[in-house]
Amino acid sequence: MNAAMEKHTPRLMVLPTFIILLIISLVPLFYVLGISFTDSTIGRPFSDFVWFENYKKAFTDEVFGTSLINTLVFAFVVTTIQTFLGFVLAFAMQKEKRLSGIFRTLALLPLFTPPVAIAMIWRLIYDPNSGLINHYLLKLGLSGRPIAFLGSKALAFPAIMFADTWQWTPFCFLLCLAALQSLPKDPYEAAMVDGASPWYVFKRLTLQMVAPQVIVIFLFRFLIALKVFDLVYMLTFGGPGNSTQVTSFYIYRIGFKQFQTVYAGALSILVLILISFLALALTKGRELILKRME
Amino acid sequence: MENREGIDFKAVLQKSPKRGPGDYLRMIFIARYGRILLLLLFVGSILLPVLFIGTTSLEEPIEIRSSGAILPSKEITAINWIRAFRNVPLLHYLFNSTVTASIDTTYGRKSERERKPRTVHSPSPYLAQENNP
Repeated sequence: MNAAMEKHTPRLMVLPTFIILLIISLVPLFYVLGISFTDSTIGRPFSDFVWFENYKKAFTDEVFGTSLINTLVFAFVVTTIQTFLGFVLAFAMQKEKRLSGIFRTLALLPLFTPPVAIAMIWRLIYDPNSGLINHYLLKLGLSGRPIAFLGSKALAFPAIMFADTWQWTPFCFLLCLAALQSLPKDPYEAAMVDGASPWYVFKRLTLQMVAPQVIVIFLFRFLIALKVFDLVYMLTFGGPGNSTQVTSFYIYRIGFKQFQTVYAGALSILVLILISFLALALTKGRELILKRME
Repeated sequence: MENREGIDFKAVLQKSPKRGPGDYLRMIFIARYGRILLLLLFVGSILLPVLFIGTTSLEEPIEIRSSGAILPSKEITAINWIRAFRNVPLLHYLFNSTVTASIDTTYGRKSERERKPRTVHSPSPYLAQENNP
């Protein structure tokens, strides 16, 4: 076997898998992009090119705008709360050696429960007639009448956020715990010898060393939160009105309930572009924060 | 209030700064009971909804629609569980999930093992020098 053959054999071996992956990931994307410039229906694909008409419609669609704002607010609020809670709990757990096994196992519970089951649990808890919260609110005299958490415009979105926090805080907690446990011990010993206060050690050592990992956890969770669908579908179906409308659910409704598949495709492309820019901006932001911390 | 070395502890205490965020942090995290309380609250908040759904599954359907208490007020029943297994092929669904998860996990582990670099045990150069001075 000559040198050139030896050099290119691994690439040739990988090529079929690479081509298959390329087809699987890029073909649907380009297909959706292609049909988003048309006025085609399910039975007549790629007919009547309308160019940017679907995109123009998306920019004037008020519900899409509302869903976009809701999604961004939801993702930012839940990610901030979950990362903060996860970090605080991980910091507390880090020092607790004896019970850590039990706590960690129990913390995994929401992670291996299917999202639909989680939504069902919270639907029962929020129920105005037979829900756990209303039962105890009425029993303790904190409320005069049952509260429809999922039927109120003001309360429905916070209720979804709360359920999501219950589901995802353990995820942030476990990742923060792993980050804290991987920190080197030497700087702490040096700080102890120098007589540094706990607050100083926390601010100057723990936070400084763990910040890159926590920012990655935040970004990771933020990108997952942008895709929220299951809780909205099971708990409120986007209502009341459009108060809990999020992009994934709106696209689903447009595509599979109203059968405007082409418009749904155009919305998907817009959301994809937006999320890509957002991910890029957040990654740049992370680099800037880390540079400033140095 | 001086000790044998002549250090005025009262003056030292007076000079010490006011209670800062670090002291509260220490109270919560370094005090063991505070930490355990925080973790128990966390575990409790995770377990409560699961406990609620578990006990609800042991109530009569009419009671589920009327009461939101954690523990069943009337006698417990397994009717919901019997219905779940009788009305839908739940065991079949569980089998499907188990098979999918097992294959996925086994394949994932195998590929992870394959990705690890192999350690080549070469004889130590110092050992070689000792043998061939």
